[in-house]
Amino acid sequence: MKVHLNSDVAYSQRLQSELPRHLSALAKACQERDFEINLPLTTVLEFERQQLAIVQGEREALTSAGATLDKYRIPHEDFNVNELIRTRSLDDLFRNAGVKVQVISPTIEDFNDAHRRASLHLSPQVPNDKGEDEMRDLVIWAISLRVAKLHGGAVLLSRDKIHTGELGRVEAEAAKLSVVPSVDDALRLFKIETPDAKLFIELLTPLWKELPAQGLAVPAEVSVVDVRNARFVRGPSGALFALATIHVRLESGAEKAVVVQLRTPPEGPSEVHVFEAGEIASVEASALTSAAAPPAPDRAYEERLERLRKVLGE
Amino acid sequence: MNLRMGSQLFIDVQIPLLWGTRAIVQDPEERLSIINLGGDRALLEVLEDEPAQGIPFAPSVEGFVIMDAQGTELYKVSPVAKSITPLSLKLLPVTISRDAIRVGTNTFQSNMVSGFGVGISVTENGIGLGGSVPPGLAALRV
Repeated sequence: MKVHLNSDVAYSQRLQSELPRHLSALAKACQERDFEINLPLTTVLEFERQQLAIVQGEREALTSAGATLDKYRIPHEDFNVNELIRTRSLDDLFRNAGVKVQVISPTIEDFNDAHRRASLHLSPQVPNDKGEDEMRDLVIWAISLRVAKLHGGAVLLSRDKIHTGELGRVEAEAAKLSVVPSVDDALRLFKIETPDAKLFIELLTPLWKELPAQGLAVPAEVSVVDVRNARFVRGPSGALFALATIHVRLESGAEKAVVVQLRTPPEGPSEVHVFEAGEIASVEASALTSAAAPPAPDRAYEERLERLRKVLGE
Repeated sequence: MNLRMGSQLFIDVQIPLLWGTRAIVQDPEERLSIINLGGDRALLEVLEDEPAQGIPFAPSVEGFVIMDAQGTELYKVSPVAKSITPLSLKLLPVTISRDAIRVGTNTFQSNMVSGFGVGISVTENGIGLGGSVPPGLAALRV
């Protein structure tokens, strides 16, 4: 599998000497599956431009600090700011993480394709009245489609509206190009346990045996195949409310999607409710507290609130 | 309020960093809190690097995602990188490091903002240093 990255996913406001956490997770996941990270040259160059702007600021700050020391005749070792503060390329950072990386330069066909789409305002570009012709995004689109067609499928990580909009969906599907907006979505696509799925399954596991009584004929062992749209709400004293659409394997071997609502009050037994997929089970903060017994004051939370109030000058 | 945050010194300001309708505050221990002032009352969404009670969220690789009641992903918080990244909100990402506050590609470094309603404001249309509190926002009280 080839995994493409748009520049917005790699965007960083810090000088990067190693991959940020989310890209590191992606690199690890790809390495474990022998997937290859494909970096369009456009992404590599955009990352370089951002990093150069940051490094320039850092070098100026260090030069200025050296000048201040000199001004007050404070001795210090000579230093070369260009050697001390350096940028690293995005492909280099991925390579260092141990994953296979390839930088994909656009071909003349990619440029021609992007140029045609930009000039004629063709899909996937959103029609706009600002005269925006996002050539860079269209070049990345052209590269991703080309590679997906060549290898029978690929993934593009991008939050860009050009890549994620409706207009390009048919074309992407035809090329078997999956477009996902975040590393978490990519991990989900790779069928890797994401942090939200892991937390949901952890909460569901002690209540699993209650599911058959709610009309869900699941086997004794936890058989969650997929977790989608998981959301959580914290309540006082460690209470937690959770909601997600999960796919489970039934005892019959068939798979079924259901909406599962979990409630773990600070005291007393946890609750699970199963709804048919599509049924609305809203996350209500009020569901966190028991009507019969008001929750005990959450001292730790109150202390944190009090600290914030102090910062706010209340 | 008086606050040092991301190398800026905010003196006698009501909201040090306003991100859309949300006040972002970093305490001296560098923990982030986010308060939405867009409703009738201030709504605490993030308290000291964690989702506040009653706020829908989902853990993510970098930290957590804050959602609205319908489950729409609003923004992502990375407590390690001290960054806030918009998801459905149309705002520039913000990172608060020891030496600077970065908003998109803009860097605020060692400024002193005194006597303004808002220290740094980030809107859909741009960013500004020192300004008045936009009308219609709730008071910053938790």
